[in-house]
Amino acid sequence: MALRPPKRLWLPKTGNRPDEYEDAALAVYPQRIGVSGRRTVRVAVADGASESAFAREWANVLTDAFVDRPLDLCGLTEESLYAWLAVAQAEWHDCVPWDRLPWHGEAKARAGAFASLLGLTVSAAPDDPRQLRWQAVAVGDSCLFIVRGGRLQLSFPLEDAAQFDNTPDLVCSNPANAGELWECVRRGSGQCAAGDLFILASDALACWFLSRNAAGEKPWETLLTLNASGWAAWVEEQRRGGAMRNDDTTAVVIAVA
Amino acid sequence: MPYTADISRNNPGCFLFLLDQSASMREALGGQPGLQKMDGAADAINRILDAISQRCSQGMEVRDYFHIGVITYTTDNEGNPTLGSVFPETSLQQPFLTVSQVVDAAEVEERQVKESDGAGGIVEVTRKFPVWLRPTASYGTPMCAALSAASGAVQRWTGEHADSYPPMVINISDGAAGDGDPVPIAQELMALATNDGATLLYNAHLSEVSAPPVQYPAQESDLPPDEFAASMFRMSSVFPDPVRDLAASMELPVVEGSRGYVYNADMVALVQFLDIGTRAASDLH
Repeated sequence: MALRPPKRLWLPKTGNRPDEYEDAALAVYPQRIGVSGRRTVRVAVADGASESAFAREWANVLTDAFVDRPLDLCGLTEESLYAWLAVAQAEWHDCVPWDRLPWHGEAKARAGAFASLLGLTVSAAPDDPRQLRWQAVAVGDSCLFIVRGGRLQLSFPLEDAAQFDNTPDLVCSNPANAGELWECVRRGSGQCAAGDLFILASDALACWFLSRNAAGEKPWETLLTLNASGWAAWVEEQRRGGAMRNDDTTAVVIAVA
Repeated sequence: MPYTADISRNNPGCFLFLLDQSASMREALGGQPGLQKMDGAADAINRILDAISQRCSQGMEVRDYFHIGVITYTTDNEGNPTLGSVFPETSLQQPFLTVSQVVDAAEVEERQVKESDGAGGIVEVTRKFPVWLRPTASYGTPMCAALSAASGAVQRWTGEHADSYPPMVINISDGAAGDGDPVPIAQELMALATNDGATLLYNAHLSEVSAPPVQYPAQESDLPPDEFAASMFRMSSVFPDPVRDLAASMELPVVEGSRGYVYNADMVALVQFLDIGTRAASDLH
């Protein structure tokens, strides 16, 4: 069993420039996963909240942190989460030009940036290196979908398009505003099967995906067929037709062979 | 469905504030001794301009999600209307600046304020306070002239921004129009529309009559015994459903049919009124 290289697709909100895109997606993909038994694929998607300042930087810090500094998802505790987060918060703090902030940006910067975070790891099972095991952690409304045998096997952490609203749980870059994070952390894990499809999506795409699935369609087939060149036109079409909210849109698609 | 257009830099929103600077604005605000209406109103407008600027702030830059104008109105000592457009290089015909231009127009003062240190203590820190408007008050209340000027500016704006969220006009006044019946002129203003709905006109009525406050009434029978209250009520828009839902979520006393009208608000209620009045219930894109 092996993973195919991840496919990453992204598009800013209509009306925004590429450098205003506030989602982030990052994947590390070792070539020999499952063979050595020691390697792990790590993928993260974060969605910076536009209402906050330096959210793009925070989303990137979070995804970098998830793939570069492995968070022990098996043994995750409140203490280990906050210790991991503290390093990321310090990195974000260093990104902000505090001495050059304009007056209108000061209060928001002091409050900190906010972002959803979804992290996925896939690694060889400890007791059987030929098997692959996945683990996921999520705060907020970026979602992981696992498609198996032609149907949606798992939707995590949200399961219904009606659950998307304007007040998702978020990770904050200011430690003073991140105190209740532990209660918002959702975790999942399971075994991979040959033919599985893993899809990580930020909220606008995730909401579209669950709506189409609920309508009896197979939205993953659309995502599988799209490539980088057709993706933007397809997303724009969904937005224009009202099928997808005009928001930064991000997907990472990984197939298990 | 009206009042659902996304607000973006391509389709910005529009706020126009009308501020009465007549002599009665020297009276106490909301029965609070030591705080004159003119001070409270100017402070509230400065605060809401600050809040809008911060809402549009993205780190180092500001996104131009809104066009904003402020028109003041009073008379000279012979009763002739004296109207002014507050922002630099604007006029009564074109009173609007983009948010980034509004930000640039601010005079920024530094004040010492006490804040929580996050550990149960209080610390004194220096914070920046932007100021656009200074309090002043004298002579009469030419509200009809102010509403006419607003109509001209809004008509031009809606003509140029047909797909935008409708303009929001917020009038802060003693309610005692000295130049005629303001209701027909206000109704003309409220009939100006974009493809997303008609202009919203909200009124903060800081009356010369000392009557208890009323917030967001839905019918005339809710009004205080004040000869000008019915007029001010009739020229106040019913909150669109998305705005009323938002106001309810902010625990403001709104019901079905509530209008954007507050009577004899104190400072807290006045700031809340400006806050809800400048909240289109749509995302900023």
